[in-house]
Parts: sequence; C-alpha cells; structure tokens
Amino acid sequence: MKKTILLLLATIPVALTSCLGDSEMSNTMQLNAEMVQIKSTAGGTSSLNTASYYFEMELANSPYINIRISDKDISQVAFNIQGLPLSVSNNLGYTFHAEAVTPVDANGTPLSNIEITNLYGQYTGNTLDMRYTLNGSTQIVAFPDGVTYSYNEVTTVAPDTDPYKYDESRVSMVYRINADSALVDMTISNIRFVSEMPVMQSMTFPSIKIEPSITGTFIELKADSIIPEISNTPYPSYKITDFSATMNPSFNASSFFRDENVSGTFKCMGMDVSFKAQMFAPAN
Amino acid sequence: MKKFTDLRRALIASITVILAAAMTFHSVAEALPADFTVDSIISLGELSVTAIKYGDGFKNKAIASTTIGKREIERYRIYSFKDASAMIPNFYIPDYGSRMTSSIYMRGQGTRIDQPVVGMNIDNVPIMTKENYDLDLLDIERIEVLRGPQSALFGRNTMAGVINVTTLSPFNYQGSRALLSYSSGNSFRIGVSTYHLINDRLGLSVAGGYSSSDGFFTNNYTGSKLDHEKIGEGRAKLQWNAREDLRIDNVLSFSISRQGGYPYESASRGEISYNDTCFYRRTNISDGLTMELSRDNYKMTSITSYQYLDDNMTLDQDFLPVPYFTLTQKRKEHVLTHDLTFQSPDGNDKAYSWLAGFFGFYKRTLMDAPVTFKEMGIDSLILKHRNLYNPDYPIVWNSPQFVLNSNFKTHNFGLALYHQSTYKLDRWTFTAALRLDFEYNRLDYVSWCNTGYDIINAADGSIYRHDDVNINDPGSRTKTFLQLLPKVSISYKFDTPQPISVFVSAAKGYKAGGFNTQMFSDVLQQRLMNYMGFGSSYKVEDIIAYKPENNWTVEAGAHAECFGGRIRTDLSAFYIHATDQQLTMFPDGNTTGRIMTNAGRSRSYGVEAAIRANPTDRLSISISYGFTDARFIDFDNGRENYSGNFIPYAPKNTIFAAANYTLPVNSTWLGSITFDAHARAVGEIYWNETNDEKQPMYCLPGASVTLSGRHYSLELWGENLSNTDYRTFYFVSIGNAFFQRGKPVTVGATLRLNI
Repeated sequence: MKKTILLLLATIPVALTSCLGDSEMSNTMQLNAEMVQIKSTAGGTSSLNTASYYFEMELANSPYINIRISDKDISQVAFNIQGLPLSVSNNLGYTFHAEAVTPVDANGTPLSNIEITNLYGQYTGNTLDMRYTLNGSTQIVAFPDGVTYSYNEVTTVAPDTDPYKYDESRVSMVYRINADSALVDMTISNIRFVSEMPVMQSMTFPSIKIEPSITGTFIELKADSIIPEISNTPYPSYKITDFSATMNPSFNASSFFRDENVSGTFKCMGMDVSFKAQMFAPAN
Repeated sequence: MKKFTDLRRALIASITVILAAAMTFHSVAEALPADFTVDSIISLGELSVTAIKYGDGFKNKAIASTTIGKREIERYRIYSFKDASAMIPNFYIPDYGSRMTSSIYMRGQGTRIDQPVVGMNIDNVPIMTKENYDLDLLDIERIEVLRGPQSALFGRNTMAGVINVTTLSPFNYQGSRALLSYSSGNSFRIGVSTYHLINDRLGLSVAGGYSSSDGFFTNNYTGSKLDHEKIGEGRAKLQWNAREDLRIDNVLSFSISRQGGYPYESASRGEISYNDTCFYRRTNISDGLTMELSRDNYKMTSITSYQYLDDNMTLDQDFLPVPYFTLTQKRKEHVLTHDLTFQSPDGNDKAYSWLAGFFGFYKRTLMDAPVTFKEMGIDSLILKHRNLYNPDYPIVWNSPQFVLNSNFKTHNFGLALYHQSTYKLDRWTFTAALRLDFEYNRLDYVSWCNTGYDIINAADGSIYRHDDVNINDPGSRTKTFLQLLPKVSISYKFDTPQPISVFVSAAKGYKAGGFNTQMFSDVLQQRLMNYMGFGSSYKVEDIIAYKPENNWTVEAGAHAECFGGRIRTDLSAFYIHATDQQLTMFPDGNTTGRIMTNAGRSRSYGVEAAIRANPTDRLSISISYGFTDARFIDFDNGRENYSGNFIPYAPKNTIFAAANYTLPVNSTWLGSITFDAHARAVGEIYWNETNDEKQPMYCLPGASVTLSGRHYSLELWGENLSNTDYRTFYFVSIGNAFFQRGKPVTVGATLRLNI
C-alpha cells in the first residue's frame, strides 16, 4: 500500500510540471542534484566524491529518462545518456536499466572514451539513486547527500533487564553525508532508548567518520565517542561510545531498493543499543 | 452479597422514615377530592414546551417521567435543578466545583465536560450551554424530568432525557410573594415577586431575588472559606391572550453569580489548601418568546429565544499550596434558537394526530483560555524533565512565570426537521417520530506563547546559548454532523376504573460532537518542550474534534393509579446501548494531556419505580428508586483496557423517600402544621475507570416542620441531619488525587409570605 502511495506521490510533481499538447498529454520533469558517489575500482579501493547530476524525465507517454553527469574525475565535459526507457511498477516507482550505453556530449557526439555498463536506476518521487560501471572497471553508486530512513527498529539491552524494543512508526533517521570531509551527521527523530526516557524530538550524532567499504556498495560509520546533540545543545550525559554502523545508501541492483538500509550498534548510559532502518517498508 | 449490604441498609433506613406514617394508611381509601391539588398535573392548555410537544400530562404516555410540583418544590427548597438530585429515579447531579460544573447523570449516562446528556428548558427556552444550567429561580411552579432519549422532539444533547422548568404564571397566581431564608454557612436568601392580571387577557409578573452564603469549606492556606457565593436574579413574565386563537408569552430573565467554589481536598494531605484564587463569575441574560396560534385545522407554536452568557472561570489548576499553574477561561456567548411546530388542533378526537416542526439555532462563542505556568510549574513540569537529562547544560527560565495563551472563536449552528405521528386504535396508542438533525461547527483558534530561557554551561557557569520561544499557531477547523433520530412506542390503556397503562418504546439519542479546546494548552506545552528537543508532537487535526455520541434505548414501563388516585405508581425498565461514546483518553505517545474522543461503547440497564401515596388528605408518602448497572463494553484509553468496568461518576442506586403529615390547627394565626421527614440515598459511585476508587452508598436524612397561615408559612428545616461524610467528586491532577466532600449538616428557617 505504501509503495502505491509512493508511486502516487511520484506523480504529483509530474502533474505539476505537465503540459497539454494538441493531441496527447506530456508529463515531463527535471531534477538537478548534487549527488554523493562511491567509486570502487577493480583494484579494491573505494572513494567518496560529489558530482552534479541532471535528470529529465518524460513520465506520461513512452516514459524515458535523459541523464547528464558532470564529474571532472571522469570527463572534462558533461556526458549525457539519452532516452533510457522507464519502467513503472507499483512496488518500485520508476526504474531504468541499460546493459551498455555510450554517452554523448552536448552536441550528441558519442564519447567513445566513456563506456557505461550495468546501469540501474530508480526514481521514487523522493529520491533518485543509480549505479553503473564505468569503462568496465569502476563501479559507481550515486545517491542524494541526505538519506531518510522511515522504517526503523531500535532495540536496547540494559543490564539485568529484558530488551526494550522501540519501533514507533514516527521514528525516522536522517543521514547527512559530507563527501568532502567524509563525515556524516546522523539524526534520529522521535526516539527513546528506554521507557523511562522522554521521547526526543531529534537526537543528532554529529560528525561520524565514514569510509566506503572495500566492496564499494556500503558505507561504514565508526566513532569511538560521540556527544549527541538535542535541539543543538550537547548532551554529555547521553555520551555515545563504540558506535558502528553499516549503511547501504543505494539500492541493490538486482532487487532495486529493497535492501536500502542501515544497521548498527552503540552504547549509551551503560546500555547496548542496536538499530536497523530501511528507507522503504520491508517486503512481506 | 456484601455488595447489597449498603443498598439494603439504605433501603431499610429510607423505608423506616416513612413506615410510621404508612401505618395509618386506610385499607379502603376514599377517592381524592376533586379540588385536591396534585403536583404532577399540568394546567390544561398551558403554553409550555412540554405541553406543546407531549400534550397535557404524561399519565398515559409512553414516557418515563417525574413531575415535581410547587408544593414539593417549596417543601424541599428547590431553587435550582441541582436541588432535585436523587428525588427522581436514576437522576443524580453531584454538587461540586462551581455552578459551571452542572454534570447530570441519568441512567448511568453523563459527562463531566463539554456536551451534556440531558437537555434543559426553562420557561420554554432551550438552554444551549451546560454552564447555564445551574440557575437559581424564584417561584418555580413545576419541574418535569423526562427520562430516556427525547432526541426525536428535542434534538441534540437529550440522549438521556430532558428537564423542563416552568415558573409561576400570573394567570395561575395573582398577588405578591416574598421569601426570606437563613441557614447554616451564614446563608441567606431573599426574594420578592408580584403577579398581576392587568386585564383578563394580559398578565404580568416580576420577580427578583438575592442570595448569599459564606460557604462551608475552609482553605487552610488562606484560612478563609472558599465556597462563598452571591447571586442576584430577576425575571419578568408577560402573558397575553391577544385573541381567542392567539397567545403570546415572553419571559425575560437575568442572573448574576459570583462564587468561590472548588473546595477540592487533597487525598494524601487530608486538607483543602491551595494558594491561587479560584472563582467562577457568570452573568447571563435570556429572553424567550412563545406564540401559539390555534386554528380549526391545526395549531402552530413558535418559540424564539436569545441567550447571552459572560463568564469567567479561574482555577488554581494544581490545587496545591505552591505556585504551579493557573487556568482562566473567559467566555462570551450569544445564542439564538427558534422552534416552530405545527400539529393537530386542540381537542382533536380523531384516531390520528400529528406534529411536525423545525428547529434551528446559532451559537457564537468567544473564549480566552490562558494557562499561566508559575515558578514551580516551570520547574516541575518542564525544567525538571529537561535538566535531569542534561545536567551539563541545564536550562534556566528567564522569567518566574509565563503564559500559554489560547483564543477561540466558534460558530455553531444547527437545523432540524422533525415529525411525530400518533394513532389511537381502541386502547392502543402507536407513536412514531423521526428527526433529521444537521449541525455545523467551526472553530477558529490561535495559540501563542512568548518566553525564553538560557542554556547554561555547567562547567563554567557561562551562558551557552539563549533561546527565545515564540510560538504563534493559528488555525481553523470545521465539522458537520448529520443525525437521523427515530423513536417508536406502543402503549396500552387497560379497561379499568382507575387509569392503568403500559408501554414499550425504542429511541435513538445523540449528544453533539465538538472540539477539544481544553487540549490546546497541552499542545502548546508540548510545542514548548519541542524547542528543547523533547515532548510529543500532536497533530492538531487528529485530536481537535470529536464526533457525536449515539445511544439506543429500549424501554418498558407502566403508569397506574388506584384508590381514587391516592396511589400513583410509575415503573420502568430500560436497556441502553451507547456507541461512539465520548470519553476522555490519552493521545498516542508520551503526553500528559487528555482528549475527548469517541473511544468506547457501553451498555446500561436498570429499573425505576416511583410511588406517591396520599392515604389521607393529611398524609403524603413518596418513594423513588432507581437502579442502574452501567459498564463499558469496549474502552481502551490508549494505556489500559477498561472493558467490563463500571462507568465512573454514575451512581448504581438512587433512593428518595419522604413522608409528610399536615395537622390542621385552624386558629386565626395558624392554619396547619406540616411535619416532613425524608431521606436521599445515592451510591455506590466509582470515581475512575479502573474502579479502584469509589464512594459507597450514603444516606442523607432531612426533616422539616412548617407552620402555615393564610398568608404565610414558616419552615424550620434540616438536611444531612446525620452529618454523613461523603464525597461528591474525585479526580487526579498531575499525579495528585483530590476529592470534594458533600455539605455537612445544614439547618435553617424559611419564611414565605403570600399577599
């Protein structure tokens, strides 16, 4: 049901930008985004950077997407992927895929030095993620610099007590990724770790160090000690230690976004807290 | 078995009061003389809303009803409907708080706040706001209480019944009257009224009164009484039989009340002690214009009213001797109503009779409801929670108090069409009624708060940051309700010399929906907490409104007279199923607030019996008994499930027993001496949904001796002569339990003059 709603949401901006022709209805939309990229080379190294993406989509008739990527590490000129067909699914929103494609420059001239293979992408109305292989050796995952997870479960284990599970539906987690500094701010909203705690509007774990994993599909978050902030005020009494988390900020190409998630553990006030979160509702 | 011990004890006590008198009952009584004044008779053709909609009297009607006449009203000193509590089966009005409270419980149904379950008409004016119910009135001629849903003819907020109060008419009495009364608590009351027929078509009466009381309960914090009260009231009634077929009545009245009230005692401390002043001040004005046009083929009646209310309730909301928080609720309200009926003409002897009508009202309310957080309230309700979790960066408020302000403007109107058909077939009477009721409710609100605090770095004592809190949340909500309210009844009149009838009926009742204005201070408090990163987030649209409550009542009863009318009996048994019950519950999440919401279903069944006997012309005995078993079928307040528990505040039993004997003296100055003994018993009453706090059944005996002459009566009286200690109210506020005790023994003298 929620996926259906997502799909409906996805159509709203489309409808807002639609224009009516004489004979048929056209729904186009444009999206400009600075996206975070994880680049994993065949040699096993991974890095983070930021690139500019521009998407233009026709969603009404014979849906397709045009993509323009400005990444100086790859090319001094922006390269374009034109006319990839969009598939519509109640479960997945809009998805696109190409086994192999040769980008073109602004004049439509093929850029023979750039080969894109295994390209997968998905647009849900809120986010647009994509992944592809560059020149057969570098895998690139591109996703927004702010990632929101709406389906969460937080479990706290305190000494000598039963685990306290808090999976209140209003809990959300937001990760704000700064690719340049390789730091992430993690904010949990409407959360508490034990029943005696007040529900906190939002608790931010600032400046968690990140690094892309060897495989290039995950980001590892680690921090020995974090002073969380609530309403922009430090809360030393809630000092977080041994923070460790793994996030998959982009979809799994084989099943699209079902695996887009984050999970981790930390200690707070002597309690062991574990959490896992998904951007979309878990599959039944 | 223990459960019935209190009931049995109260019954025995009550019956003992009247037993001695009953011993004199003649086995073969003579019929009442034709001119014997029977309290329950309505004057033929009277221009009252009851007579308009139900005809003359309820003797053979399919309605459970009780009428308290002028003699009983004077004998039991009924100035307000609250004074009639428990005199009527399953009718209970706890005396607590202030005159704003006016909670009525009937047959296990009732409500503490917002919409009432029992409607009220005073001299045909439908009182549209519960806060106007508790009025003192001089010269009440009759109080009729109709039990069971009356929604088909009376509409909203009559799902448990209707009270009709009629004051004395200049066509029924001519002359001047005076009242002087003094009683415990340094309470006195004076009243003067005069009734005249200007000519044989035009009658005019004017009445005015004043009462004052020092009160009965002392606030230990101030050392002074806190339930003091002063009331002034006036009424002018003009009745004009303009033509043979046209009658016009107009009643203009006002009341000014200034009272302390709220003698709430801390259950843990065992004393009444709070530091901030509580009071309730009310000014109201109403005017009701009733016109009746009688034609050969139909009768048309029009009732138009205007009601104005200006009140101010101010509370020490914590009722503790500390500066926690206070609440003020100031309101100005204007109401217009119009009820237009067409019906079969008087004297219609046809088998079929009908009634059709239109009702409309408009109510506009302006209300300010600021909540002031004081030093300890800020500390206990806000800072304590915040700073406990962040001792390294504690918050210090910038001022010793701040205000959470809320302003409300409501526009409420309703339109209704109703019809009733009655068909008489031999001894059978079949009645069916239907009402279509539409209501529109719009709330415009604005909540705001301007305050600020410093966040301190505890390590060095410096100010880490200053936060200003500036909240300004305006909004508007609209709700509409549409109700179809049917009623059917069948009655059968037996072929006996004395009137005996039985009836069955089924009816749907409803209580209007509304808005949770009392929630806004909590919403605002949570918004304030949100500034600090705590507190729950309300979705105002989720909590702001509640829907109407409905019930279905199935009822069977009987009315019987025997021994020439010397014994009159009314019996009834009922079953009520209530849905969408308006109940107080906790919203989702971790909040301290409560909201009215349609959370529950309940059922209620019971029996009622009222017997009045006049064994001789000098002796009168009456006894009323009501039993109700009212429980939740389904009620989960978000934290606990109370299904199967008794509905709080509604008593299981009400008993009233009275006997009075009039001894003729026939001297120049003294005509007779009347001795009266009576007792009211109520209980048990559960105080909360968990049913772990309750008031056991209690009995309040009273007595009086009245010396009557041709132009005067002097009554020496006492109430609660056993000085029974009982509670009329119980509640929990911010974790502290409070209750209000009933009034102790009260004695007084009342002098009435009739010139």
